[in-house]
Amino acid sequence: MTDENKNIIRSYNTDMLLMLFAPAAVACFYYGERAIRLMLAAVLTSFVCELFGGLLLARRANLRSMSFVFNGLCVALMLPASVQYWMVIAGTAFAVVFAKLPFGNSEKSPFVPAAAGLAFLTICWPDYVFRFPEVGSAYIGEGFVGGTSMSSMLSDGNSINDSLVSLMEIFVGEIPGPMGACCIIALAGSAVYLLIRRWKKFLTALAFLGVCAVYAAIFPRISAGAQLSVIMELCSGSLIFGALFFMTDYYTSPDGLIKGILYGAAGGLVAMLLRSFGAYEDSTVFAVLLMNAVSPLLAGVGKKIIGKQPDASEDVIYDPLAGGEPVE
Amino acid sequence: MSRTYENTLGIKRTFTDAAIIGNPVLIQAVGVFPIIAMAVSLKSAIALCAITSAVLLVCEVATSLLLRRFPHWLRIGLYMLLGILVVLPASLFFEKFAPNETAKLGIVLPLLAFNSMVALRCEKFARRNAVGTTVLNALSTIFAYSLIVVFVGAVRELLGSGTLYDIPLSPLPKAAGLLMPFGGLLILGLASALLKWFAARNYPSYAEKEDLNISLEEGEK
Repeated sequence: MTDENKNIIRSYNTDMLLMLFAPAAVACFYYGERAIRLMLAAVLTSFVCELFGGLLLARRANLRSMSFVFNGLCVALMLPASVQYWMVIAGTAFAVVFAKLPFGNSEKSPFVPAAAGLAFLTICWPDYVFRFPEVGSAYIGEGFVGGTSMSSMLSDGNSINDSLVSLMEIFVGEIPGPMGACCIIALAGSAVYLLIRRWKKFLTALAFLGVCAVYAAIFPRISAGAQLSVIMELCSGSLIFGALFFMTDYYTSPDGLIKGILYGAAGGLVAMLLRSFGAYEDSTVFAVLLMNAVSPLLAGVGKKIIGKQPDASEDVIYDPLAGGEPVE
Repeated sequence: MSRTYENTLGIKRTFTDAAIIGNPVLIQAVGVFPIIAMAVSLKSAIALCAITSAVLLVCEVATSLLLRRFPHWLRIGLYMLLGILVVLPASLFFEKFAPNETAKLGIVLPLLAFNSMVALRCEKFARRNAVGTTVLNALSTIFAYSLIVVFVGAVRELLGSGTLYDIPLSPLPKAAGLLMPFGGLLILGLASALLKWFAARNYPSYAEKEDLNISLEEGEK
């Protein structure tokens, strides 16, 4: 990896971490010490796994890129605050050991590691992943107050009413849901930062959410009207979080403008189809992983649509045979 | 027509070679599907080993004795026929030995009749060698295959169901995902990476790629 590439990745990861700051702060605000401990456990696991991977591959782990912090925080923030520590550790360890190490422990992983970790947790322990505590209640131990998250309301076809949850509560994130993915205002702040720093990636996320919104308006799962359906679908689960942090990943999302928008739009369609017909309440991470898998196919698409030769440096195509580059 | 050659390696060396540099699953990547679908517990893994071993042994011996006289196009079909003849009684026995596992397996069990590993071994080895050498080859392959199947079955049962041969052992939370096909692929992939790393360090000859194409070479029939 050249120095220039390293710097790009480092600055990209710094951006992502800055964007993660807002949801992490909100998680700490709502769930207090518990959230801090969960995030620390995740980051520590990620750190240990990367060090161990560096030893195993006889390469120095690239800790300065800070991606271990990003992976750990993402896994923790997409889980409910009531989750046990071993789940956070298992998810983060899976993310690093199975989605990052086999591809050379470098940044060039063909799948977003945190999404892979959460997908693993969702498949193995869906009961824990989708059991959200009520905000502000006791959320540790056996007898915590379980809340009804919007994603479970949607999958039950249960429409919202004003006395149950108000729109204001949805926007500030005072509803049962994933720790860091609920507060829409904080995520909007992150989105603005993304728009300023990397507007192409922002458009990818926007295309993802736009298709989700259109789908929700056309095929609402609740009977309370298209407008409410759009709001609920977008704000439930980890849809916005996934769009901002996973669909915009440096290596897996295509770089060109048209390609990026296509990638995002296709991802949104897959996410909504999985939500409507899939087995789980929230399938954003599965949509992300599926789109990661087809991402190399999109490399040649932009050329056909605009009719011009793509810039070679723009195409970041993952080559599994080449492996990761050694870190000096 | 058929070349025969003496086994120049000792018996011990034949077995270690088959398990390491010629590992059917981890190096040559044949016979992977039954492991992914079937090796979800130690019991199923043992049954899988038994059935596959029987199919492989019967097919290789039959090829060495008789089938090599048949043309290529017929031979491939005959492997399948022989496989069915072996799998049919074996699956009836397996149904008594582990009825719950059989019910879960469904279509996988009859599909064991045709295994890419069997076709490869018969076409690449048994067809050109005398019975004695062929039996030794089949046994060493069975040894290598059984090792990896039992390993995968045990790991998946321990982590996925928290038991080992139906005895509750592991206090860890059960990761049911490992019982799904993707769990099998993950474990096989990691094991393959480890074995290749080990082989590349200790066996310099490992770098010579083995030809895994079973279509005919020039001048053969």
